Amino acid sequence: MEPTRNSHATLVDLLDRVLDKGLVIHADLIISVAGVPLIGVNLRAALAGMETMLKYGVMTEWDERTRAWEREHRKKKEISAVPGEEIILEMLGSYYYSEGIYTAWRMGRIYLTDKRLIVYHPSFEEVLFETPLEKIKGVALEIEEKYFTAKERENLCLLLKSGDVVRLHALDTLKLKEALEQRMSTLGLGWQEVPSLAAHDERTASFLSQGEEAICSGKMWHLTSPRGIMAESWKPGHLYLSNKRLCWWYDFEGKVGFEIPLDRIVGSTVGTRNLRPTPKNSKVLDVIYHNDLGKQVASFAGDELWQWEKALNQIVLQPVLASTKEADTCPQCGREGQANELLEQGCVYCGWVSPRLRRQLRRSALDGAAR
Amino acid sequence: MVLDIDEKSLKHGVLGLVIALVEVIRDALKLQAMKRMEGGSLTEEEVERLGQALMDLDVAIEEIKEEQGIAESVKSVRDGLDDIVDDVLDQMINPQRWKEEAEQRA
Amino acid sequence: MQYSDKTEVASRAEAIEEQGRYLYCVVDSGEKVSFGEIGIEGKEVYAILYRDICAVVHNCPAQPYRSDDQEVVKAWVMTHQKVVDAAWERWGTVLPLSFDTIIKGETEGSAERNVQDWLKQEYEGLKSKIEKVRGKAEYGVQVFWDAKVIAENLTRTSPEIRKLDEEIRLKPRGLAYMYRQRLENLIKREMESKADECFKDFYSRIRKHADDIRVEKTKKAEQGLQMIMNLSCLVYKDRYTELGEELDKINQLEGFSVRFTGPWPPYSFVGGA
Repeated sequence: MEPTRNSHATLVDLLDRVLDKGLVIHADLIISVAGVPLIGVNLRAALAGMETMLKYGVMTEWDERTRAWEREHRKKKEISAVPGEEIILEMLGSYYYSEGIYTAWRMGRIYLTDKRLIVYHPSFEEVLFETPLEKIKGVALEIEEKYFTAKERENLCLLLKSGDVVRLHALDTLKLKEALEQRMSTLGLGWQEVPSLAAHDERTASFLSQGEEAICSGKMWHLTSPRGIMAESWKPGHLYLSNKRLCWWYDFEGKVGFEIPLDRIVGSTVGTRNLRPTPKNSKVLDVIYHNDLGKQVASFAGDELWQWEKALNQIVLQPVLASTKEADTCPQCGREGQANELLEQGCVYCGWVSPRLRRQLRRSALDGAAR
Repeated sequence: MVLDIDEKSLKHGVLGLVIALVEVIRDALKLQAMKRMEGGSLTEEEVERLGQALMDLDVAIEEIKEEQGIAESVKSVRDGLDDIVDDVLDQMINPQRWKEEAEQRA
Repeated sequence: MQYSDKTEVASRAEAIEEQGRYLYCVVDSGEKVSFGEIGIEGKEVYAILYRDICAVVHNCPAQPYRSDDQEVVKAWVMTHQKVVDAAWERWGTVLPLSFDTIIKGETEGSAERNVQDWLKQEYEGLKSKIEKVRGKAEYGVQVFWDAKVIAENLTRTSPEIRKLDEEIRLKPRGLAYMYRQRLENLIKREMESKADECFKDFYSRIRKHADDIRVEKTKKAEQGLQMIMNLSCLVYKDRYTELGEELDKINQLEGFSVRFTGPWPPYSFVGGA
């Protein structure tokens, strides 16, 4: 068995020694903050980047993956400048590393040279990321909302010609973007301002297939159907509309929990419903689609529902111009009507009402009576 | 007052803490129940009812954690509590002593 | 007049900047050497001599390095280790100090003298520590076991556990739950005594391949794994392969895994009296 030392995985072993041990000197000779440890235990875990891993609770996998990654990539890479290469801009920044479940912002120095963009970590002597400027296809500024603090931060998103998406953050992200764009135009390179990059994130990386692109995304709650002893309930996650399907990522399980291929979607509508346990009425997006069991409705709740409705109706109904898919037949009287109207308001001819609508009407009638 | 629980609120903080403490209390209850059972002061019927009640409690806690998606938060609160206890114990126990004892036995 | 005031202020400010000496390590050498600007915050690292030993230092304000930014602290700590490594490579034997040890001086030049005085006072002790670690390096050895695998093995081999397991199958729901708790407690107790046995066994095997060992506190491990042993071993640099072979044998035991880190400068073996 060979001992290891220079890897991210042994950072904690190093810190345990450098922070706590070594030669001891009499207190009156040295500067110290009496009684207060300069580096606390939790901070030490954070320094080693353990917190992210502990959050996912699957450190064994992470450790194996890190070791495998380290074995592959851990040749001490130094920046070798091409002769005549000049550094245009240099600043502190970080690079978003995402490989399976190991995701982290890795700190380093960002160098924009006249030929490349590099992120380098001097203490580890490691090149975290490097690309020649010609390989950059799209540039976008993305606003990332921090989960709990609700603070926003600007990230620089690069779409490379290889199809990879790279995320960087710098002390002055805007300045970096401008300098990068300036250099690229000086070199005569074109690039796209790609707003849809916002839809790419660590989740899409794992479930989008070849040729599939995410068009819209957003935080959405989904009403999951009854399963075993669990009743139907609203679960938090993220909804994605791509050029192939509508899928919903379940945060808790870390994977796609529900999806509909675009050609199965009939339409969508925003309605109001009484969502337990809150007594007030909330806006809900109902997506109507076909499956083997017939017509179904999937419900979502969140922000910007009208935008979603519009996007869905555009994407879905456009190729199917004339109303063939929009139309539907009333199950009671057999007459034709608009699909979403039938669901929302019932049949104008015979007064048939869908079970869902009936429940809704009953509930609001009860509310009215209670008041 | 209805709790409007959404992601942006302190759900993972407050609810996670509450459930972590509920788990700690449940563990204490289990311990007490075991002591009574081993001590022979309970009838078989009482043990049966106790067991069922504790089992139902376990299921209820798991359901809340899954529904609210806070299993990880609860785990990290409990790990944090463990760390605090460990720190206190450390001040009392000397690891050098383990080594000395091990050397003696070796 | 104003001009000379400015230089006076500037030089006094500089003097304050230089009132402390940040200590990296003590080395076995009478050479007065400079490593160049490889220190924390790019400071110049050099040696302060006393007879045939020196302290590797850089000049700094008489104040500990503190920052709220974790990444900044991390970079400082890595730099500290880099300097200690450089000294280790150059001289073969170092007595490292922990991060952020700064010797102060009240007046100009007094920090330097304080360092020398300290080297002088501790000379005998330092020399003997140097001899103790000469030609050796520190290695970290951590042994883990997969609690599930070990518990399953115990269940198979312990008749008491097997009997209880069978009894549980026949009981009604509530009773079964309580008896399962009893079973869990029983397994836990047996695992604790197995952990003690393993510790003693592994320790004595490892002891043969190390010059000295420090028993460290076990730490929380990844899901399913439990750390049952955490050691720092002082081993001759060319003998670590023997230790590695012994660890291989332990690693191959069912349910066990070993983490072998190093070589580190001998942080754990130079502290104290």
